[in-house]
Amino acid sequence: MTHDETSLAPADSGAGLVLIVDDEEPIRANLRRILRLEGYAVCEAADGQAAMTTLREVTPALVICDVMMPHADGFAVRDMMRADSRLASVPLLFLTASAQGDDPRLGALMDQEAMILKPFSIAGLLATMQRLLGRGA
Amino acid sequence: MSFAETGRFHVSQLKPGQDDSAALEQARRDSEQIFERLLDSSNDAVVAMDAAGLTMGWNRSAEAMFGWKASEVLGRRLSDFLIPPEHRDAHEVGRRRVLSGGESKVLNRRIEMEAMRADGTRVPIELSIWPVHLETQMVFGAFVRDITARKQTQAALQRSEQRLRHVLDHVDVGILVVQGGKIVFSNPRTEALTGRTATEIRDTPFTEFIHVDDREMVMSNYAKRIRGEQLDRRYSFRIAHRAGHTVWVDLSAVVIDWDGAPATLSFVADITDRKMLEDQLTRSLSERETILQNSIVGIAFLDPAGRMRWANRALVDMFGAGDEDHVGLSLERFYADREEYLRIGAASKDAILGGRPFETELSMRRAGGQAFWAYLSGRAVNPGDLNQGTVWVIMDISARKALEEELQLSNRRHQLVVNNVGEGMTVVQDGRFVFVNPAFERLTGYRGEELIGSPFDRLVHPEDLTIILSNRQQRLAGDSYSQKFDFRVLCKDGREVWMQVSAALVDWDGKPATLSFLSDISHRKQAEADILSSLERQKELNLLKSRFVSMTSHEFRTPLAAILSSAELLRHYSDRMPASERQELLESIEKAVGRMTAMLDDVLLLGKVEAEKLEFAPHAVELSALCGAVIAEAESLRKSEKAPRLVLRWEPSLVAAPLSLLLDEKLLRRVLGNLLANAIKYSPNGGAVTLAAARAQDKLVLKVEDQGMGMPKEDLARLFESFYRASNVGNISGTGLGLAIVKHAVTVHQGDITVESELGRGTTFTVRLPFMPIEGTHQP
Repeated sequence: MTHDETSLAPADSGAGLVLIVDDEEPIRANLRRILRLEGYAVCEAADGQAAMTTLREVTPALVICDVMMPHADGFAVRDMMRADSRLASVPLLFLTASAQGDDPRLGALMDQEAMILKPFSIAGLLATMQRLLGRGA
Repeated sequence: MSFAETGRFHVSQLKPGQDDSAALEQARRDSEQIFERLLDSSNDAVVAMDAAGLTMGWNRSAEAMFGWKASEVLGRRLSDFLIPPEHRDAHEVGRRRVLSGGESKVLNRRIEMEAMRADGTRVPIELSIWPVHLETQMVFGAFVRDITARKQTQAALQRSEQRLRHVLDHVDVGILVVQGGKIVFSNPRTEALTGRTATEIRDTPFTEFIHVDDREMVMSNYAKRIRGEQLDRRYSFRIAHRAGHTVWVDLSAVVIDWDGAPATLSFVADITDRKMLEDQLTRSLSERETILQNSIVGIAFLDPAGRMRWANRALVDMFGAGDEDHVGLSLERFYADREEYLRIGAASKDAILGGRPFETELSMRRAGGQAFWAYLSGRAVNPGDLNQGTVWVIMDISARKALEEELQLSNRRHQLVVNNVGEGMTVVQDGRFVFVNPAFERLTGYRGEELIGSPFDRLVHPEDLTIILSNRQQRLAGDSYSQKFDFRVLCKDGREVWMQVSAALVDWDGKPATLSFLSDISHRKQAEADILSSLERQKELNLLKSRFVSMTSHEFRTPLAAILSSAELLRHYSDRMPASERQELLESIEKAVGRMTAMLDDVLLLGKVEAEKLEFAPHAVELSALCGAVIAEAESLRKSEKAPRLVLRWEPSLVAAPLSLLLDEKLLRRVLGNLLANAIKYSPNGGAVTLAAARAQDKLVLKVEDQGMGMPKEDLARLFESFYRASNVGNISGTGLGLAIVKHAVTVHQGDITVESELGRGTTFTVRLPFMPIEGTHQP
């Protein structure tokens, strides 16, 4: 878990805290850059287990989560969140490298959930985030 | 007359004589004495009895004959001791009748009767009684003769005559005496032989009884015999029986004296039966001769030395021996050679001496040298007397032999087919094997004799018995049935072999049976199974490949995402980023491209491996330098503080400092690099990853050991297959190509790789390569 020392900044732009969960450091790095540049506060986790640990302390506005990860995968993170009333309605954006439709669970998402396939465009990512955050708000 | 002084004659009343003179007296005395001596010397007993029946005379012979002394009987009544009791009354009656002047039946006659003796026995006597008329009374004198001897002779004669009569009457031979051309004596058998009575025989010239054709001969013989000429005592002729038939007789005659004149005594025996037997014998012998001569089989009688006594026409013809005289010749020339002749001779001798007939078949030669097959059978003419020689039956069996050979040839051909056909053949009757061919023996491992007679179903897999039995029932019932089906045969060694059987109903020794052809289809079944399993494998491979595709997709999408996002960041936000960050983004792009390139290399390399086109270019490699390099590369993979430590260990068996070995550096880097990367990747909880280098004899041993998550045992066997990944990898990314490539890289080095692993404890890969140091470098 990496706590961002600039995480307070996005509060001004009205954007909330976003938790980035991905085992690939280059992906996490670029997501951090994008979200910060777009005014989000960011915290990160390198795998599902780390994400769940973070989520016990933090209530982010949105979670961007890889699916295939060591220790605990994206679905474990989702199940944990949906089972917790504090986190149940927090939007979750799956960012997956798997072939589309590989996992039936990705085809049956809830309203506050969405899925984006790697590689992704920054515009697409931001639009999906805003849709989830708008609904959630 | 007074005999008083002698005491033997008592004259109760003696009248004084007319001559009283002394001389007269003397003369009278002398006369009395002579008379007395005369009486005493008589062999006959002389007895006198007076009118009262009292005894008055008893001479010496009477004493001897009857056992009474004169003194004992004189004056006693004669009938009381001499006459047997049963005659006494008659005696008394007769005496009185005579005394009273009546007729006498006994006086002056010879009478035979029995008299009593002193000891009580009786004696046959002949007596004559004469009366003596004295002046005063009438007395009786009697001469008594002992006729015991005469009686005995008479009885003996009678017995003898009786016996002779018995003989003459009952003897089976006609006995007759011929004298003067007439039969003067004949016995009853002669009557039977001629059919005439004794009277007729005596009244007829004997020639009348003889068969017309034999009369002259018999007459001449009779005449010769009477003349005393030399002549056979015996000869045969025919008697013309009155009933019309002929009786063969055998005559034996001698000349005798018969009532003072010469006669012939003939004995005539009926030999009709014997003659008939003789005729029959002659006839049957000639019949037999005819049969033997005309028999189609050759027959020969040989003497004990094996020389020909007699042979029939068929035998002579069979051997083509011509009309020469074969008697006394040996059969040797008809044998193939002397050895054969001696061999057969010895064998037949054994058999015949042993009381058995001898039989054989052999090739013999005709007189012309032409060979032919003969059946030979010999036996003793008389098993009790081998000196009578042997009788042989010889048949020309060439035709049969030719047929047999043809049959054998045909059988051999069938046998050849049956024995060499690849298919198993069986005949099952009543549920049991009655025939199996060698192919079936080979297929099952059983020998024919183990199977014949045993139930066929013990060779059938229990699960397949139902179909076999139902097919068999249908077949035997004449219903339709499946011609071909598969079942499992239980072989002797316990194997189950799939066979296809094709069965047909046949007649076997007159009873229905099932002829089956069986072929081993285990190869086909195996191929079927192989296809199934290869389909299974194909499926599995497809699964692995789809997993590979999915994994590859993930592995490619991740760097692509890094590249794309980096590029977009540079495009849209570069003005808001410091130069250093822009530099980082460019490096991130380069790293991601490098990662993708490496992955593509792996795929391409595996393609080469699978096409067996992996290049192997060994050259001198500094092992320590290489190990240092791969450890350094592996260090770059340690991205978190949790990652395991890396340790390089040189075993004492290997001196580190410059050691050049003949290896393919590129491949070896890939092997060690991959093993180290795996060790790091699958040690999420750290620990140590050790690369150890050692030498064991002529092998270089490289070990990569981790303390990571390990693998289930069941995965180890397939671990080096392409795309195969351990079942517990979870979300740890990987293509499943790495170890497949490692394995091939080791193999092209003529080395081998093994793996040991325990879940949760770690994994150790051991690579063994040939230890081939380059000359000039340090040798440990």
